[in-house]
Amino acid sequence: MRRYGDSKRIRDSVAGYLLVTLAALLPVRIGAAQQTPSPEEGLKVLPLTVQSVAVKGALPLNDPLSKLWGQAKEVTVKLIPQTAQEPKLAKASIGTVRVRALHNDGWVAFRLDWADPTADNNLRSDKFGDAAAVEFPMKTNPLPDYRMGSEDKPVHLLLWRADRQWAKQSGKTFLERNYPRAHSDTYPFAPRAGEDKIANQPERDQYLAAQAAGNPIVPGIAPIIEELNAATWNQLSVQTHQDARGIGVHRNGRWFVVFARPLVTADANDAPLPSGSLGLVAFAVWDGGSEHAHARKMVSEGWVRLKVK
Amino acid sequence: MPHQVFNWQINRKMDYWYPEARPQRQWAAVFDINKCIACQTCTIACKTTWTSGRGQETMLWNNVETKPFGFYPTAWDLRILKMLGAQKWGKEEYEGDTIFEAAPEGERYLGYRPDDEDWAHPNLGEDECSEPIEKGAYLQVPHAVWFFYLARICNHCTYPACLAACPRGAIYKRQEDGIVLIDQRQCRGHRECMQACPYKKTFFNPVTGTSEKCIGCFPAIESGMQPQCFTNCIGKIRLHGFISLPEKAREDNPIDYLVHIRKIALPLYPQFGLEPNVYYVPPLHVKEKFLVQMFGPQVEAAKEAYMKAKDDPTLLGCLLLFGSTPRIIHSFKVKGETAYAYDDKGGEICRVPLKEPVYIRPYFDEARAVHRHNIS
Ligand code: SF4
Ligand code: SF4
Repeated sequence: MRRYGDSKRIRDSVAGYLLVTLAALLPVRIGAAQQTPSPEEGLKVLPLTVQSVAVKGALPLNDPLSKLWGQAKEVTVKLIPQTAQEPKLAKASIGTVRVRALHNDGWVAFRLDWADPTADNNLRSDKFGDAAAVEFPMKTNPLPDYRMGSEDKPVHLLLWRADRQWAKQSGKTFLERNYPRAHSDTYPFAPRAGEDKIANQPERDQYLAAQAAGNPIVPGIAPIIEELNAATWNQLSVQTHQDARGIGVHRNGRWFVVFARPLVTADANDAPLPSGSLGLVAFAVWDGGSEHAHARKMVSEGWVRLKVK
Repeated sequence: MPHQVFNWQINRKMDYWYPEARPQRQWAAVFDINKCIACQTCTIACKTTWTSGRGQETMLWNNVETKPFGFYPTAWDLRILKMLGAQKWGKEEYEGDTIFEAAPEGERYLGYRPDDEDWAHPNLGEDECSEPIEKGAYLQVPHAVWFFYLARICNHCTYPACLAACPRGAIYKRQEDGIVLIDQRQCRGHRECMQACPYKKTFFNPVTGTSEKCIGCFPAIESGMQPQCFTNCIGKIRLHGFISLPEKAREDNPIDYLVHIRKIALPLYPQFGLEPNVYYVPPLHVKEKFLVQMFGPQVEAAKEAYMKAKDDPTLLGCLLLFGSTPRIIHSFKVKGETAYAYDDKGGEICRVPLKEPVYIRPYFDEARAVHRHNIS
């Protein structure tokens, strides 16, 4: 039994408001267990390079299976369970992700593919979607921890989620998908037959609290590739300017997903990646079927070099 | 990594993901189980106020289940009790593990996420054991035939597991009243809170992709009113207020009086370690073993004190204030045959007689030359 006899742990109360203290206290790891990797591990740069190949004309932003991808050199990146932060991923599942990159004058596109026999794109209280993310340091010197950065060293993320793609493409809600025969006598302010749909929209929206509050993750509203910044585990912000593009396809037991972004934008929250630059990139993959979400994920072992030349 | 915090309900320090940080005041409630009739008016009051939107169809922030066979979601308490395993209450303190201390390696807590279908049977086991007894019990169970109604809402815990678990930091506890909220702008629908909360009081909305929970009717609280499920309670089983730490208990604060001073209202599963803030007057007719598991070792003493309430004007007066006003009672007193309730500025809100006046009319009504029946 673990009890309060452990002198390493903080015993004293800290007065103040939990919300206010959260941000300040989270990155502090007190009495960290031996299994927690050291901070240096987060700064690892792997002896691997993703070499983006220049293409004339348009990139296959919406076609993960385009022949053009054959022009790019494939790099296989090993994935390990995330163990830097609780909750850790107890069981490894997806072992590797294959990466290719193409760019033109304005954009760079990455195609990730990995083995996952089931395409999980449903969202229900007990169902999670497959997902993957591509991460860039905002600055390479000093280098941020590839595990979501830190307060003074943030990172830029592109996140793809299969469930959001399903919602966007189908135009349906997960309510319709999971409970096709559901019936509710009435929804407040729902228009009746012949009534103007728009008339009560603001009142109706109040009953979808997250949507009314402007949460950008609402299925159907959330983009297929979401752009975010992170400045440690719980400091995540969805960007106001969503410039990224891309899409996923599940074929023969593998996901093929394109993540594309402009090389340079006016957005100060985008990691700059001018043509001809040497950069760094990191990867994460979630297996929805194994209930992966947030920190329960497979990650690359460190930063991977990136050449956009 | 966990910090050490003090939990007065288990009377010891324990592990928690964040340092101790108590709010200025703590939202709290006392439910008198003995008076609940499972009319579900509270459930509907909540449902029509907060969860009648799309994606909230199976969400009951307030639910009333019949114990021992009712659960919402299915088997919620049995499952976490089983995962935690047999634990021990000592003489002075709880000697077992809380859900934070029993966390598996790499986790912040011990918990599980219910299956989707588990939310589909809110009336499971309702009134079970209430079959005509003269025919014999139709269910052979190890205990004598009994049941009771357990009304449940979010406990706005002092050490919320939902908050500790959220990897996004989207759950917060308000400093002004201790209400625990999921920020609907920040939630990313990871459902760690659903897995962590042992009371299973956070819910997933598949339309918005976020988790939602009881908001303690904070707009009502901010204007000095009790929550919807309190003011609409037909059985008048509920009293809302603010609870102090035991050493700071105020005799004239009705919640402090019932929980700390008279000790007739007890937290639900205090051994989980969350310091939940809905306190229950335990049902009188239920076997002690069952109740000790549910409310801790003080159960018998609480029952005894409650039984004597009829000869105890202050306690009786305090209990009679339940359901007497929609406003929050900050202090009360009993003088003579009347209980008085006051707001935060000491202004009188209402008064309740300790005994309802009784008028006995003759059986025969001379004026109308008719017999009076109890319906006339
Ligand atoms: S309204 Fe009151 S009496 Fe009715 S079920 Fe709810 S708690 Fe029980
Ligand atoms: S009862 Fe559950 S949802 Fe409510 S505060 Fe406690 S842990 Fe959170």
